[in-house]
Amino acid sequence: MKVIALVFSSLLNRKFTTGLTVFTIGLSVFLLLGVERVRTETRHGFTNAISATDLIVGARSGSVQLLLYSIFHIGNATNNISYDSYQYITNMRGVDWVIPLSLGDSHRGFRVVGTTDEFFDRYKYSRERPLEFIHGAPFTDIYHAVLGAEAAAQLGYQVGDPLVVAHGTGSVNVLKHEDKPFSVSGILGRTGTPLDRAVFIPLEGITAIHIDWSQGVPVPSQVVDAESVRELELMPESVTTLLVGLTSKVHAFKVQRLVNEFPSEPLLAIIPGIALQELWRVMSVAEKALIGISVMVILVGLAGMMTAILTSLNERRREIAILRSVGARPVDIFSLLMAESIVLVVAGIAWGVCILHLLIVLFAPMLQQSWGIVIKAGMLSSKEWYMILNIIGLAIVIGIVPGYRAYRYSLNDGLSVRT
Amino acid sequence: MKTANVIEISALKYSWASTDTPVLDISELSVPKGQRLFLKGPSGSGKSTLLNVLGAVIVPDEGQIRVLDQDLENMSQSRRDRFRADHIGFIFQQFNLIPYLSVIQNVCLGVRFSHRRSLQASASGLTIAMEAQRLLSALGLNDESLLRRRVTDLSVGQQQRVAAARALLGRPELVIADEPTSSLDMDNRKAFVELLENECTQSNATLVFVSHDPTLSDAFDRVLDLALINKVKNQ
Repeated sequence: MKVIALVFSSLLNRKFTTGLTVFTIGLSVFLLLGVERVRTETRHGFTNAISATDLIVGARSGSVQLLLYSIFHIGNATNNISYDSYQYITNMRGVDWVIPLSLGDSHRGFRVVGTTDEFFDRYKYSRERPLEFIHGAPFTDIYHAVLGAEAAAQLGYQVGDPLVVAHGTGSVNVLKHEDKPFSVSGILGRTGTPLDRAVFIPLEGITAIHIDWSQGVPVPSQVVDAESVRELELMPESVTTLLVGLTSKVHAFKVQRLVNEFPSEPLLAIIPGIALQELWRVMSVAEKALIGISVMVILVGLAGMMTAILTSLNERRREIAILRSVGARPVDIFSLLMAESIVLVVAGIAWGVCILHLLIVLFAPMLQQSWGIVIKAGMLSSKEWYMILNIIGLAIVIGIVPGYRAYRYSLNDGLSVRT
Repeated sequence: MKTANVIEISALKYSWASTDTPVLDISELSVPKGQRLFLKGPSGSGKSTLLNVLGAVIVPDEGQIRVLDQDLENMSQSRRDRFRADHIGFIFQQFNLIPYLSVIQNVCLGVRFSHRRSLQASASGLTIAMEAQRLLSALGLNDESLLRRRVTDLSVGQQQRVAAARALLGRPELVIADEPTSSLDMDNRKAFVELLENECTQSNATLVFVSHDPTLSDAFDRVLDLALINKVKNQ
């Protein structure tokens, strides 16, 4: 094993090729680990965002679509649920609680969610964690707003600050509900879910700002000012989606069926876990393709390494003969070349992990902003270690090629290479 | 049976596996301990094959080869590698040094592979590195800054002296030099041979010096023409 000590000097002697090889392998390792990291963190984030909710109810559409717009604020609802249906479901047997969500408005790019203050008690994330207020309190007035941690941080709002809700969810809002401003009553702690980027207002607030609107535009003849609106009936005509908690999970399928067969309105109830599975099935095709491409890129990286070592080998026949003359066994020569492959790959992996973490640190905030996906730097997961071990295993297999070739040279050339 | 001969060859035959034409056919050759043998070896005389046989890299098809009272043909390959590391120092024609190691690392390369030689290199109480430096300065490389230079920056003459220091470090019983002077100019050749002989005498090593330059042969105890003892001709 005395030749192993030579590996580093030998590789450093070919700094340029070594550097290039390590760099290439690093990129390919980064790609694979990156795809895996985004995949698992996305799943993790999605799974964490809903717990304690047994059913999600919305207008009839696809279950994945309902899941995406209700919980993850991706896309929009096609239709609403009437207030009557909401009341009916609340009184169904087996139903413990129902939280209505009214979506469709925004504030400076952040989604506005109309709901009841029960939401803050009932909603759970990351298994059983309740929402916490780090500042202020839930709504006590129809013009109160509660901000998710990320929204509050980015907007720089404190409790008491005013905010104006804009109509629609586009980033360029033309129409604003400027006549009825809200004030921040509370700010939630960070959850790592889409809630962090949401602005919550009471359901009555949603009704109030739309009361003098029709077909998505204000109607000038019907203007009702912010104070006199309080005198009116502010129960909404419809809501976008309902989060339903059951007295027992065993009722889930029964209640789901009853909602789906609801006669007066086409509704859809989904069990979040099952809808998530469906989402994973849709996504797994793309995931597999990405993983497949990443594995190919790893193979290309390793093939590049093999080529680099094989190319160097011809110039190194003299070196092999010298090592033989001082007593190196052919198997030592083989180990030297194998060790070179392994050192290159391990260095490449280390580099790849570095790039991964560097990019996570740099771009995770942007990912969270645009898609609400929280990617964390930190320890490698067991799956990632497994991938790394597989890459090293592959490197050993590929390293056999130059190793064996050098071994043959050492046997055939002996001490007499003509250079 | 112990003899005073370092090398004993009898009825040795060797042909490369791929062909069947023999390249070596030597009926008898013995080199006594401490002798400095000049082996004249024009190209095609089977010289490199003989060196591989003496270096225990290959074993003959027929006949006997004993080096330091050990039958090389009966040894396993790894024992032969070990034997070479322990007992034989090699100097090649040129490109003797590993380009990515420093001068001192190159000199110490041999003792990495041989516990015996590393013990002998430090026997006089010096560290191995100090013994290496002593050898280098005995061979005329006493400039300290030279030790840290890249070996590829050294002149060919200097490189050959570094190679000689490596071959001698740890006092191997047998030093085999394969045309070590062919890339040197005339003045350097004589000087190199002189230094090499002195160091072999100092460490009591037997020297087999292969060259086709007859002008160097004067300094040797014995001169042999490989073309005359090898019965295979015209390769």
